[in-house]
Amino acid sequence: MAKMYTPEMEKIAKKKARRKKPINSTPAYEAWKRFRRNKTAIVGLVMVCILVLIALFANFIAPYDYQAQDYTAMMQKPNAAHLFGTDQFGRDIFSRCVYGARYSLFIALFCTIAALFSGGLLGILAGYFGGIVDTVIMRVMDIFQSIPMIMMAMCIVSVLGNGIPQLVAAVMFASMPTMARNNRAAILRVRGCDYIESSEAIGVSQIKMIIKHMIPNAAGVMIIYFVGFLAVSIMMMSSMSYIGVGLAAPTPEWGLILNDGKAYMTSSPYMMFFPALMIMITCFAFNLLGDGLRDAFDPKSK
Amino acid sequence: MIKYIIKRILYLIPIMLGVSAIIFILKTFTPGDPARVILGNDATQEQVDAKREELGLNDPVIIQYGNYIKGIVTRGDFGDSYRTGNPVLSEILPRLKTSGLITLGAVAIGAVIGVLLGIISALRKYTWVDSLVLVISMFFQSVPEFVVALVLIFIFAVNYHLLPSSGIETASGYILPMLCIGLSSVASYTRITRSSMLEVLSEDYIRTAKAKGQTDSNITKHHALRNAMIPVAQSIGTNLGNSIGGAMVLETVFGVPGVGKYIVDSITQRNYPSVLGGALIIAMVLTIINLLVDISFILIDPRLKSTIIAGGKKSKKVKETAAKAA
Amino acid sequence: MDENILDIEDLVVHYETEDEVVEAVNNIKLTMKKGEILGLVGETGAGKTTTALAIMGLLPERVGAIKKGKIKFEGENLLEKSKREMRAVRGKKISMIFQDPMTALNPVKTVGDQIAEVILLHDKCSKVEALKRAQDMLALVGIVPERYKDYPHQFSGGMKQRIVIAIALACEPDLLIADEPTTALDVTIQAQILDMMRALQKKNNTSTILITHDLGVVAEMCDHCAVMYAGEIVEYGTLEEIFDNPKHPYTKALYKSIPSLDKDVDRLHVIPGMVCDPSDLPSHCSFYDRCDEKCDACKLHDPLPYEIKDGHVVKCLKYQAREEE
Repeated sequence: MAKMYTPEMEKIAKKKARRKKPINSTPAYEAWKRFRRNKTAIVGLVMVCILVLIALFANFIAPYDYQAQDYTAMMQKPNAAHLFGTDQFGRDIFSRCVYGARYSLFIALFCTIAALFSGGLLGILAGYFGGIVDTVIMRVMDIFQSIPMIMMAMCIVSVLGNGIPQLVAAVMFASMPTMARNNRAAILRVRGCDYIESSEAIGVSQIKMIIKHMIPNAAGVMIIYFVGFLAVSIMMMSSMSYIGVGLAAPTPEWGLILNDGKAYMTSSPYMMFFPALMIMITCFAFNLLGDGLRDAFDPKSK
Repeated sequence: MIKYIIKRILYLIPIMLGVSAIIFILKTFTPGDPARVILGNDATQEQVDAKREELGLNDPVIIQYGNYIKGIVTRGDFGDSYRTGNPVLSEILPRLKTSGLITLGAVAIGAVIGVLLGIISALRKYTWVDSLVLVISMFFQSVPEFVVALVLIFIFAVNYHLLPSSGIETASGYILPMLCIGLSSVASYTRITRSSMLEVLSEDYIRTAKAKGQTDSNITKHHALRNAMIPVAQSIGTNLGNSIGGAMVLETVFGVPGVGKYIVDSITQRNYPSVLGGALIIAMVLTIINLLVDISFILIDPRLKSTIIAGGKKSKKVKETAAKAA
Repeated sequence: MDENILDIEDLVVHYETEDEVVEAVNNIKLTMKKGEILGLVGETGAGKTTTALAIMGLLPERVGAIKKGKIKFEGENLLEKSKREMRAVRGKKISMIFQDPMTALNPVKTVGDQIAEVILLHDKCSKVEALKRAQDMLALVGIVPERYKDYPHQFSGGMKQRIVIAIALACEPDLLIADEPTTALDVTIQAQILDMMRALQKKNNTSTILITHDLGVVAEMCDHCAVMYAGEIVEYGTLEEIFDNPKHPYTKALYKSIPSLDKDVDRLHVIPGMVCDPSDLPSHCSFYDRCDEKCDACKLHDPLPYEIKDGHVVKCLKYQAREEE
């Protein structure tokens, strides 16, 4: 009589019966399972996928060339021919926004990869070797961190000049301290675990240890930072372009499109509305996705 | 305790040296001749050469850097602006007040809203309130400050003429910049408050308080909040750095004559003494505020006091034993 | 029935998550007389703490669910009480000492404040008076009263546990639940704390439930003993009965696994097998797989608790069948 059946138990029994074959449960699979249950994260993922598709197929989606000027159709309000309207040169804002996705996403991707390889690597080294290596790297990062990220980026752009590679370099340097710090923390967290100590005790080589144990285990956290940083770099890039340091016209970067529309804010607010919307949606999507990943990889944090 | 503070203040020195070195290196790589920038395009080559000699630009970089540091240490001289010829410090100091006010206001707005939302969302965890709060705060995190600024300008200045769209001639000019920077940091405070509240609420001492028969609201107020605020206070330092960065952009957008706009203008004009001075002062302010934040923890968390004091004593002891051994 | 301070009837507690239902406590019956010390013994996960939390009304929110049963305290069913009424009971009538003293105290409040808090909540008195009484409580548990201004981190583990006990006893509760009060402490400190608890219990004649996995502690402290296994009470009786005349195979096995001072053995006795998965309990006797004395019938029935002697209850088919013959 000890066993008592409740409706909740039946529900779970049914759920288990529905799951046909048992699946080998790996951490990544567990994370995916948690991720799948998280509605907001799925929304984020779908939005990101759509944006990536827009970026990849910009030339098919955009009805006009992003820099084609049409003096017969200047400053038009959104209409059937020009969904988002046109700017003062008669350029189609919809096409510019679509190509903007390509520029913004890919520059952000490059920025993030660069940041991960510079700051991230420094952080991993600092976290892994500890001691003097850690002290030196982190003290230097302290110095970098005393300069606000965006100021650092602007200074570097002013040295290197406007342009995409320059911008990537600027964002990379500017984000180095944050990246290093986060990755170091991720490595330290793994490093403190018993299984690392035990593999050290049985004499696993250092390189093997970093590649085989530390990086896979810290990978979850790093992916979270990676996605989060995509949003940060898009925001930084557009802020810089907007105040005139960063990319140069006529690149259809969203911040620059906004800058173009600045003068016509009162008369034609739509010129700023759509690019602003694109920035918002993109950053929002990345943040939703990043947040979902955080919950999936690190269930304790929720 | 005092020893700790002195140690932290001394720590400023390498930071300042490092920051100035970074900017100095950037300066040397900047294309264009500063002497030409000062004198304009009409100046003759002789005049430019003379100016270069006067500014010490022909010396090796390391000597220039040494002279610069010497100037700061001995005379409090951060150099002269290329553009106006005035001492940088005298240009920055009056702007510091404006920027400080905006940043502090922004931090206050962000922290108050963020902490409140975080508490609400932690207490109502896994309900629709929680999700709503998280989505809203994430939305504000996702929007660059200048876009928020544009929207607010459009609503309050262009459409309704309630607030000025730029300048700080009236006190109401401060409102929009503060609000924009503040809103963008709300998300980070909300998130930290929420997770630290949730963590604290699952602690054993909360269960002890419940076992005492304490009410939920009192548990939140007297037991959870103070413990949960420790990581939140810690995050103020980092957020402040972001807020200062945000202020640089927004002062430019709103045309507010603060340090941020000064630095942005100087960067675009390649006016390096001003950039250097601004960077140093911002770094100094940031470091000092971080120190103040750290000291304020000791007031929140009694555990830290003894670790800091014990830490100090221990290091002294270690030194003594080391000296003996030698 | 009046002298029974606690009556648990058919209590079933489940922990429900999205993936599984853990059957933590299954149909337990337990009565306690006033002034009695009851030992609740069992291995980790046997449902001891869950039972205690259920009495306190502190089962984890959203997850812990009482499916069935009554918990009668001084004749009133605690499960029917409102949140507000339960708050008045907790700390005042029923107190609990938790397992880990290191984390049970709020690190940012002085210990004096933490003791005074419970006094202020339940007894109408001024703050000054409450602090005065808090100092008295500190003295009672053997801590210099002047230390009431200190913070928890300034005390050792044993001292912290004394403070936790002071909090629990501050309002002179009728029932004290001590959840492994000495597990986290050094052996020598354990003895001190137990001595103190016994002295205080004698003084106030507080009814106490002592949760432990240490049979030695039970032998030293308790009048009655209940052995729990997989969320069930498999054997219950007076201390003498349980120790001198254990009937349930699990209880017997537990005794065998205690190292003996007189006999030289190479290996300690180990109960073979594992505790069955609490999210997937069998419908027959849950000890079946590990039992030395099992028979075929054991796999068919889940035995009912059977009173073999006055006050000695065993939940095993063997005894049930024998008596019925």
